[in-house]
Amino acid sequence: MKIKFIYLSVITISIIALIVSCAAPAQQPSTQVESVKKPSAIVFYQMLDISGPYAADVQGAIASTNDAFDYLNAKGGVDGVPWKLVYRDTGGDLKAAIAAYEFFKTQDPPPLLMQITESATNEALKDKLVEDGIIAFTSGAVPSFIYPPRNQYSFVPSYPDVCGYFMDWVVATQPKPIKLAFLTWDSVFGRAILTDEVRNYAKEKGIEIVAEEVFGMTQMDVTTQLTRINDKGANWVYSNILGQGEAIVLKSAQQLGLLGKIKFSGCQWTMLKHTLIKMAGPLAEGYVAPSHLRNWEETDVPYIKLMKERIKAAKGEETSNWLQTLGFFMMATDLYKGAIKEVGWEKLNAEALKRQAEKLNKYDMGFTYLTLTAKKHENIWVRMEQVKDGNIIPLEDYKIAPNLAPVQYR
Amino acid sequence: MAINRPCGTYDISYDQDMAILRTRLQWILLIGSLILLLTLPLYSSNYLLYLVNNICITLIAVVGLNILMGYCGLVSIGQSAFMGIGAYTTGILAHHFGFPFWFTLPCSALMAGIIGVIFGLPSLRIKGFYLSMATLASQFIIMTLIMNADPELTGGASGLSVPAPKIGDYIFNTQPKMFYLIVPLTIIMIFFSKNIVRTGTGRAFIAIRDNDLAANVMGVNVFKYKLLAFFICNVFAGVAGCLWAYLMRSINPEQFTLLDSVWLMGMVFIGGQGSIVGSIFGTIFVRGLDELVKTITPFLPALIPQLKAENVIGFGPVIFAVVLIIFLIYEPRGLAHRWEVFKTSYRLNPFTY
Repeated sequence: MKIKFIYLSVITISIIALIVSCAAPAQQPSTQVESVKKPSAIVFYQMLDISGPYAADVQGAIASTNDAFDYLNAKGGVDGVPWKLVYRDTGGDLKAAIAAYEFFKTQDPPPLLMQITESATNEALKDKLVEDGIIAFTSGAVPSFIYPPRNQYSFVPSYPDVCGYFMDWVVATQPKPIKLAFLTWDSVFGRAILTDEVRNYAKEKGIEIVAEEVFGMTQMDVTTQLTRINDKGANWVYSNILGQGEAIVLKSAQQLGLLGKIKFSGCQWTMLKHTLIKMAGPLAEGYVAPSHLRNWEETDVPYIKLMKERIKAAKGEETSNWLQTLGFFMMATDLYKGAIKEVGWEKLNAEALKRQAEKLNKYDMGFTYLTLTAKKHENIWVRMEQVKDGNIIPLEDYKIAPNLAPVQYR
Repeated sequence: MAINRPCGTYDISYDQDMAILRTRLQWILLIGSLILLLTLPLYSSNYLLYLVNNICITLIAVVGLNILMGYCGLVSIGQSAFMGIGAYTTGILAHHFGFPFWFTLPCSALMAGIIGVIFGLPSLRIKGFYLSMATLASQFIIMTLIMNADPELTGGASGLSVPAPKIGDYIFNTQPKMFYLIVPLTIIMIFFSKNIVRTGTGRAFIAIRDNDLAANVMGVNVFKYKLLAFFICNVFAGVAGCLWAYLMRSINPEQFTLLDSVWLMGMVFIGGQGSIVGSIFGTIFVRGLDELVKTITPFLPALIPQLKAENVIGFGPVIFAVVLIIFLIYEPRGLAHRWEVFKTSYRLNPFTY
């Protein structure tokens, strides 16, 4: 009996010790960062899909972020305070992303500014970000979380706006009649273009939408959907997917012999060299899509030149991630500097950063221009691009995309 | 069981024989554990509370699945979709109609239970792999309907935002507050499941699992009890879904995927089929391991500097999978069996024979 009690006591004490050691001091969810004197670092909390379906696009994110921080910290960071990265892999799983957000929220210092790439995660966190006093920049704007304007900002135009821009271009430059079909991913991101605003805009432009088809993000063949689209007489197909998805669409079209008969386009994330051109190869030749991104071939742009040098030194790859990361953190540094100038370190909070963000007007991020307002938390700048000889070539200069936000928020 | 009890512990009445807790020590441990658990918000971080809340919700779904799989011998590969039904019932009632928590919870449970019975109907004629394929269909049918049938009502692909639960004027809008909503409900659900398997219904489930033909010959209404098992399993999923909706405050179809259903089954296997304690162990083990892997992943590049950081970080899920495979090789009967072995050896100590 005595030995049993000793065993039990040891086990009980061990369990208590384990829980106490795991537990941090009680914290209340902070809505504002108060009494922050100059911190030792600005910690940037990043949730990334390194091992899931978005991994191809996120490739290089950690290396490029660390490189960006090296560059910015060498220039004094934010008012002498260096940037520091803390990240978590989500594997593309929404629940893991939410868990990562909850983890970041309880860290010291708590996050003020984050970058959330996946649309479903943005959708799930839209109200929590407001409650927790955190602003998030996203690389994909879906109207359902961008409107009404909350704490999320997109440095790309929303998917309906981009689709609207494509419609403007196709009507202005291509033979008529335009019979358009949507072939998009069955997700928050993919379905972002299936809105009444987009359908009405097509009607306004004289474009007939003949089909709306969806497919799974991991599906490797869309011949069934393309057969139906072909039967309905479509001569253009537009997809709100990533470059690897567009490669699957083009390969399926080739199998059906539809490549010459139907023309293909998609949102800005289809037009990527390291996914679309790498995976579709010669099938991507002639592919057109609207994009907010500058290209690696535009070496006359100082930012592109700088990035090429840094990639060479860091042994990185010319991916969209490397292209955008430094530009994003240059902008974030400017936001922090502006906010600190306005309210000081002590009163630095999400509201101060929001005020700075909403002042950005054709701000040159290096890889794109950025305009944000209190009413429109999404970028407006976009241009048409085409794949030629395995490279992405701009067909025109940046223009303002049509505003296809829900009518009540225009 | 009685043979393994410590010396001096014996029953002198049927009540004692039926009791879940038999000794004073067990009562002390239970009360001590409950005090420790319920005071957790006083000394723990919000993230730990989020993990506990998350584990408890998963646990409710896993316990329900274990009643169906472990006790009744049926299969369901759509548990996550039934959680989705619970979550969406809550979302629709709370978002569109403003119904309070005490109303949405039973409605979610009931709705998931009823739809579960419909998908359980094939179980009378088919079993094993064929039944698993039929229930797999439920995962796709339910989520496709949620996304497409009436996007105005369900929010389509974007989903719905859910207001914080309220009981009277008290709003459960933080992790510590949600903890006091979720943990007591989890305890009640576990107590309910523990009891259900000790009743005539539970014995009927076990009889069907062991040999449904023999059970039928003995007078067990196999059709009724199979559907009842589906109903109970999905009531648990509905409760879990309701709590999930309130914890997340925003639901969309990507939160209830086939992969989630597979993991819920995995937790049943790892914990041990036919054991409520096993469900607890399985859920904590899988969620804990997942958390551990996510925590150590950022440190992997420093351990293997020869490889590129991005590639090494991708090893996280590999480590998770390898640990699970090794575990299943060495303990195929689940953690519950290991727990029984430990208890038996403890009770026989110092006589290990």
